[in-house]
Amino acid sequence: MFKVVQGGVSVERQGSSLPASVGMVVYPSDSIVTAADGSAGITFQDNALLSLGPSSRLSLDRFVYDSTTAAGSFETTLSSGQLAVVSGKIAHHQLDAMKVKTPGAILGVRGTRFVVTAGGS
Amino acid sequence: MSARLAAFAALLLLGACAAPDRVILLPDDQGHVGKLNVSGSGGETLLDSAYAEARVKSGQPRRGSTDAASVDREFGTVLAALPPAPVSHQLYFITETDQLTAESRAEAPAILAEVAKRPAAEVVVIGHTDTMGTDDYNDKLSLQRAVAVKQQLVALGFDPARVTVEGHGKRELLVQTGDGVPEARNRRAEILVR
Repeated sequence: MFKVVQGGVSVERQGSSLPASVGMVVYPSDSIVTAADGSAGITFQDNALLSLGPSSRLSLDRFVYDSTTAAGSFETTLSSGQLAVVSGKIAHHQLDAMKVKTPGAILGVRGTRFVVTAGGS
Repeated sequence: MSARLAAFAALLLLGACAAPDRVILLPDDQGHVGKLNVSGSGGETLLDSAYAEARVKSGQPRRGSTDAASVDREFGTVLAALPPAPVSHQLYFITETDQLTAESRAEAPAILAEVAKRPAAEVVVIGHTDTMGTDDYNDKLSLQRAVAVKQQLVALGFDPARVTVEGHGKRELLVQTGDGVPEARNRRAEILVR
């Protein structure tokens, strides 16, 4: 769910582009796109926190989470711009259950706080 | 045409390869540092110290390090957009009732106001009881306790659709006791805020 929306932020969902707003829910297979003046912060059910800087694009590839066992799988792709992450229970529960992909690398997340830049931005 | 197109394609290719992907591991709010495995098509590296950095170019991760000031300068905007970390609070109840103890009654306004002011906060309130009485009785009482906390949040203007209530009865004791034991610390509601 979006908790922070600054400047131009949109969600690409099933072929359409929706303006993001605080309180809006995100779904697996959504892409989040920020304009040159945009940034956004999102919380996930496993308590992971993600934020995007300006001129960035992040696709949510997979989010599966069992709140009883904390098992799950969380995969995103940053294709341009900047991403900050504080990992949640999925990453804490199992090694590399949380992955962030960039154009040239795959990050296996073993905790907790980090920033990523996609090259060429 | 082909020369111009080739030159344009080369420029695009150059643009795409101009900057490496970068990853920087940071300390969390408590100062703990986790680990990141960074893999490219040509190798992998493990980051495990504060401000350790990997730059990945042509599939090859190269390790380095940076510092807090550089991270603030380059990543200030994206870090400022991180939502606040989830928090949890506990409130305690008078035996056999859904009324807060005097101490929790004094603490509640500050806690609930803090919850209510977080943007689009999602709240789960879980009520609990001590081991006095039957499962059925305690399931109902614990849910009443959670509902009582929710009502206070809603009275502060909090969107009721963002508060989930659960009653876990006497199944999740904070302090382990035998059955039929009054224990003030077990008569509580957990407020989980994201």
